[in-house]
Formats: sequence, C-alpha cells, structure tokens
Amino acid sequence: MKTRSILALLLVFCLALGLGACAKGAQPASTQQPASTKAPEAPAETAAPTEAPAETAAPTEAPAEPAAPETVSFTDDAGRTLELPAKLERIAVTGPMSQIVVFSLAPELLVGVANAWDPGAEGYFDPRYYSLPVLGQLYGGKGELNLEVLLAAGPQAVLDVGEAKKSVAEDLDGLTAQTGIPFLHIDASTGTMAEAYRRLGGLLGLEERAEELASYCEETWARAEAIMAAVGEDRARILYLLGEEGLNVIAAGSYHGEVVDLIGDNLAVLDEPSSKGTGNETDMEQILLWDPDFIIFANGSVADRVGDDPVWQQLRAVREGRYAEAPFGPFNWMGFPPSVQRYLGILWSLKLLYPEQADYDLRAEVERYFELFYHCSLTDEQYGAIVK
Amino acid sequence: MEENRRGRIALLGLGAALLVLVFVSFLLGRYPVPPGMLLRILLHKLLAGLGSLLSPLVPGAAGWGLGQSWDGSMEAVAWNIRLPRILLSCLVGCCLSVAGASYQGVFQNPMASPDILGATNGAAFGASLAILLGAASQMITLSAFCFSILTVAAAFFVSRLAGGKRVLTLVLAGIMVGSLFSAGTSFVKLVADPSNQLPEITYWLMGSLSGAKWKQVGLAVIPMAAGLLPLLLLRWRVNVLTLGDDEARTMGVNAGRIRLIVILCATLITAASVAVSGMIGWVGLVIPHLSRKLVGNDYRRLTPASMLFGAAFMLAVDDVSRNLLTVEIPIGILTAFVGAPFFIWLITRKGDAF
Repeated sequence: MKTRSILALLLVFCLALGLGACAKGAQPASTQQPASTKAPEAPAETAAPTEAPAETAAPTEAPAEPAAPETVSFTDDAGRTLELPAKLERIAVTGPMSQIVVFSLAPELLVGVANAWDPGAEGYFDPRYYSLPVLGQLYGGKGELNLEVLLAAGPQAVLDVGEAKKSVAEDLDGLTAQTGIPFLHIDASTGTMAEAYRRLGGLLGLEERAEELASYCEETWARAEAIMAAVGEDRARILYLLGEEGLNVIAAGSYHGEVVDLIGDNLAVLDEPSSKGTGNETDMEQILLWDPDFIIFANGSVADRVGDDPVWQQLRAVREGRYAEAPFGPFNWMGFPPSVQRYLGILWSLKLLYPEQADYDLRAEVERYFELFYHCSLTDEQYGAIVK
Repeated sequence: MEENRRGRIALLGLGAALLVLVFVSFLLGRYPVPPGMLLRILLHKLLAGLGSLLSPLVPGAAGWGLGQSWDGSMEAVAWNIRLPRILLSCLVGCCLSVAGASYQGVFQNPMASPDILGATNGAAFGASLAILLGAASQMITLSAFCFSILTVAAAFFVSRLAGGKRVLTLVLAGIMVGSLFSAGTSFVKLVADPSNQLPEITYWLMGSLSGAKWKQVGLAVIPMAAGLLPLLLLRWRVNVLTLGDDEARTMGVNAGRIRLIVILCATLITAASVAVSGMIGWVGLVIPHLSRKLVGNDYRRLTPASMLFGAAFMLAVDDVSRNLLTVEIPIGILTAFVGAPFFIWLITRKGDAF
C-alpha cells in the first residue's frame, strides 16, 4: 500500500519534470510520451492521439490547391513570407480596425466582417456591404471567430491590419498552419495610413484605388499642417473631453492625441499620458485651471448638458458657448476607434476653430470622404444629422 | 454486490455515451464535410501517421494512406480544427470534474470546486499578465499554468505557517491568496490597452476552447495524465479520507500524505485545464454531484464516473458553443447557464441532502 502511494508520488514528479522539459523544447519530438500514459483516462480517444504530434506540422503544406493557377510570395509587415494566390478575390479580416481599412479599399472582396457594423452605419452603407455575414473577431490566437465558419466562407487570405502586437507573427503562423489559409499582418496607424493603403493596394491588385485613398490621407494631413502654419501664433487652446461626465481628457502627446495636438494647443499636458482611447481621468478643478478657449466633447458625453450646469458654467469656454460635440456617423470623427475617419475630425475641427484659414467647403470635403472611404453618397438629411 | 453491479453498468453506460458523443461531435460543425469523407480523412491521417512512425522499420511505410479525394480545407477542418478541439474539451471536462470530486472528498465539503485553492484565480492573473506583456498564445498558456501552481503553493505555504485545523486553514488560505490574485487581475485589466489587450483578456477570462490546436493538446496532456493517473490509482484511499483521520490511521492509511498527494494532483490537472481553456466554472462543482447520483459516494466508482461524465458534458456544451451561432459563444458562459440552475435545484430540493 505504502509503496503504491510512493510510486504514485514519484510518477507525479517525473511527469511534472517531463512537462518542464517539453515546454522548453519544441513539441513534436517529445510528445510521444503522453500517448502511453494517457490510455486509462480516456477510453474514447482510442488511437488518435498517438499519431497526433507527428502530424502537427505536415498537413497544411501538402494540399496546396492544385487548381490555383499561380501563387506569389508576399512578405507581410510581421516579416513572414507566405504563398498567396496571384489574384486575391475573397478576403476576410481579423478585427474592427482591419475591417474599416479593408472595407474602405476593397469592400467587394470581403467575404464577411469581424464585427457587425454600428447600427448607425445602416443608413450610409450599401446594403450588400452592411449585411455582410459576421464572422467574429480574433483575440490573439483565440476568439469568437469560428474557424469552420471562416473556412466555409472561403477566403483566400485573412488580413490583420493595425498596430502590430508583439505576438502577431506567432499567432498568425499558428492560424495559418491550422486552417491552411494565409493570415497576413499589415501595419497601420493614423500616421502611416497612406503607406498601409499602398501596401494593401499592391497585395490586392488595387494599386490605383489605394493610391487615391493614400493621397487623400496625405493631402488632408498636409492641408491641415498648412492651415496650422497660417494660423501661426493664434492656435486655439483646446481640450478634448470625453466620458459620461466629460471628466476624461485626451492628453497631449498620447496615441489618441494626434488629432487634438495637430489642431491646436492641447492644454492637457500630463506626466503620464494614457495611450487608452478613454484618455486620462481628470477633474473639474484641473479643467478650471486649464481654462481652455474651446472644448470639444466626445459624442454621448455631457455636451448637451453643460449649457445649464452651474459647475460647467464656471468655465469661460462654456459661458461663451465655445464648445462643440464631435460628430458621429457612422463612427466618432475625433477618433475612437482610431482609424481613417479621423481625417474627417481634422477637417471638421479646423473649420470650426479657424474658419478664416480653413477656406474649404466642409460639406464637399465630407461628401468626398464618404464616397472614397464608405462608398456612398451623403444626403442633405444625413449631413445635417451628423454635422450640427 | 447489487450496488457494485449497478455502478459498473453506470460506468459502462457513461463510457458508451462518451464514445457516441465523440463520434457525433466529429460530424458536427459549421463547415460542411460529408460524414464519409470525414472518416476517410481520419483513416488516411492515422495510416499516414503510422506509416511515418514505422518507416524506419518497414520499407515503403512512409507512403501509406488513402488516395486523396478531398480538398485542403476539408482536411484542415477535420484534422486541425475539429479533432484537437474534441480531444481538448474531453480532457478539460474530465480534469475539471475529477478535480472537483477529489477536492470535495479531501475537504469534506460538497461546495468545493477546482478553484477552491485559488488555482483559477492564479491562472487568470498569469494569463492577463502575459497578454499585457504581449506574449503569444503558447506563452499565455504557460504563464497561466505556472501562476496557477504558484497560487496554490502560496496558499499551502500560508496554511503551514498558520496553526489550527490544517484543512480549514488551507481552504481559508486558498481563498485569501486567490482573492489577492484576482485583485491583481483587476489591476492588469485596468492598465491594459482597451482597444486590443482588454478584449483579449476579457475573452480569455470567459473561458473558451476556440482555436484549440494539436500543440495545446500535446502540451496539456502531460500534466493532465500526471495528475489523473495517481488520482485513479489512489481513489479508494479517498474513501478512507472521508471517514476522518483517526479512522484512516486505524486502517493503515496515512491521511495527511494521501491528502497531500490528492491535492497536488487535483491542482496539477486544474492548472493544466484552466491554462488551455480559460475560466470554465461549474463543471467541477456540478458534475461530481451528478456522478454521485449515478454511482453513489464510493470514490472507487465516483472518480472514473466523474471523468467520463465531465468529458461528455464538456464535449456536449462545446458542441453547442461552436454550432449554435456563427459567432462562437464562450463555453464558460454556457456551462454557467447550465450549472447555475442545476445547483439551485440541488439546494432547494427537499429530502436527501448531500
């Protein structure tokens, strides 16, 4: 009896050690071990696991589609080189950022979307794009994206567009091996949007359209800088407030602060600017101290209440009516999620803050943007509802 | 004698049910693959695998397999997506439920579940931390596993420092250390980037078997086997534990040592399960009780019954999770939907208490 329990204890240690060794080294070689120890606990699994480890790497390379005319190799921004069909006609995306970017460039190639579009987008988007099947989102290697649903949708490649996570190469390699569909990463942030479009254009064979979008991004940014140069010393001292109570602020120099920093003097200079979309928490006393010339509130924040709120009335900007709510449609123009619609935010806020220098027709610019990026023409009614 | 026979029949029934479920699960899925084709793919893979194993001994074995009459996607679905997931859900269900049953026996407490010593809280913290640091999926799993073990070890250490009734202090220490780690998880969530890290952490914490890969199965099966085997071998001694330490001693069983081994093994398999699947609640609490209804309180039958029942239950729930909607429902949510009502029924039922 005693020996048996000691034996059991020994076994635990041996196998625990085995785990340590296995976790360090690569998996396939040492995974024969579990097969023998596994028998008693799972009678149902019969012989399957024995062969499993040996097979892990093999299956996906072998069945390269014989029908595919030709493939090209493409190196993505995570430094992975993959074989792709020469002409990509069906693609899927991994998350909301990829979805917006790929949709703006090549909506007709999408076999599905990662997240359902915001209901607000229904009125703008072409129904055939708005009602694309929802495939689910990937979080790292896991996610609500059902891989069988993905395979059934039949994409030739899956695109991950956005900021690169550290683990992106490994996660995407795993998924590529598992599904046999190449998963690609393309870097993108507001500053590098034009470059991202050109990369995608090259990948999808839509160079011309991509160039159009890329140059729009560059032109808008350059135009904004020119306007700010003309404004010179008269830069407005501004704050961009958000949150239910309007007591969160996007700090100067933060990732989400790019637009605010561009269009004026962002007063919220903080020691530790948060890179989150919800910004840094602040309080009314601090806002009073900053005493901004102009306040932009995020949509859904306190903008419609501050007018008759005694506390907010203490602020000069509020008393003088120098505040506005960021337009929303179909996304927040001031940039959450931080994607291409920020260019709309730039155009809108410059017109608002510097009407003399910003000598463009906002309506025309917005219409052009909607046509380029959302593939729809904006009606008077829609425009009126967004830009109040 | 009569009870013995009933128990054996129940076990056989559970085993058969699990086999059928595995087979059915293999046929279920969102990607349409004809059943005949599935079997051919499976057979081909097994033959090819066997061939490559035997190729040094048998000439020509490397080329074994059936002629390929399917496309790459079907093979990926059958072999790389469905099969590892089925195996993983069986393993996780089996481990969680037998861990729950063992803890219930060791602690003499029907409310004990695999997270009683903080193993899941520790794993949650480990995983959140790894996600925050930008680790890839394998490292997340490893970190969850290590922190899970670490939490229980810390609870153990604390209980050794404290005096008094050993079992009680251990449970209390587990609760305390566990809550410490869950506070840590909250902090990690607070500082995580809400646009990509936070949803990833949240998703991980909900518990899901989506994205199950052979790699994970291979990695998880080692600690799982290491924990399950001793639990199976020692199962009659758990019976003795339920009688009390003095009675155990008169029967020649060192209660303290057996308890230690059982806790160690149960922790190991809990940590391994949670590390690959995330937090899946209720299975470890509910399935042991259901198994008790079937085979009685005797751990000689309860342990294997919990294993089979847990595996079958988890497999069935996971089938729902991946087939009900096009977008996956995390399995952790579904098990709670099934588990909570059952438990309410269990505690409100009149007569035969635990």
